[in-house]
Amino acid sequence: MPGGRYTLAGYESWLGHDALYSEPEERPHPVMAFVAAQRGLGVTVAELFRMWGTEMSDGPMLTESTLEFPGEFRADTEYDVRGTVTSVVRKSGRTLGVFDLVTARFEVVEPGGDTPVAVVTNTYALPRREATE
Amino acid sequence: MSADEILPEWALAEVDPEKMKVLALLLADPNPLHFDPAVAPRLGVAERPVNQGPSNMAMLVNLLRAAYPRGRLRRLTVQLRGSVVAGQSVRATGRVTGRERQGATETVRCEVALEVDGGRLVLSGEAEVEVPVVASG
Repeated sequence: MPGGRYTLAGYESWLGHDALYSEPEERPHPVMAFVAAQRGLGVTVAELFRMWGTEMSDGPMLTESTLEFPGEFRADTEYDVRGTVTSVVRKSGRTLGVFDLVTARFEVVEPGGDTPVAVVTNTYALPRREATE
Repeated sequence: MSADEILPEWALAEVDPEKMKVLALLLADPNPLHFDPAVAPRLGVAERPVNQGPSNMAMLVNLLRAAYPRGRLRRLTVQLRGSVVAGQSVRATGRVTGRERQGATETVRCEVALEVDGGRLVLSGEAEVEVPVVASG
């Protein structure tokens, strides 16, 4: 994945708390690390799924997510965001038919640093209507 | 709280579709299921807008933050098992499954879950929270 940079502005952190049913405070809501991973990747969500051969209209779904905080994610701080696909597994089911479970790891890292302050690992179910198992 | 203790429940009487609109902007998520009230019924997905997965995850984080206000979330893993739609009530619950002391802090491990009206499970997972140890005596 291309990767990019992301800064959570202070007012966005406030809005994030409010949108996530949390009392605003100086530290961002931990789920804003998910926002950082998604916004800082260098491609939009739709472009990301398109890279994986799926359109938004196909109904890609988030099935599992892990947030990890080896460091402290802060507002008004610029971070590098790096993403890698760690696994692709083909499955089939009654609801989705044939689909791929794609797991991607997104690291939110201080520029020039190696250790991420936050890691978001998401698994998406991507329908493959044209495929057979 | 010791192992096997139940965390105080976190509940919300009604999921607010206006908050979904703000989160759609913050996430830059163009999926209209989350903000256009006409789309979910038209697609046969739900009668009202569908709450974003990260918002459902946040409710479990809110549960943990309320239980451990001086704690620091180190890890949360969730399996997304169903949808939450606007207007539904939700209930986040948790249970302490283990503890590990490291110097002045303790890592508390929990099982967590999110249910909507009627007890349908929509999210389940595990979390680790780093909590300062309060000196006794």
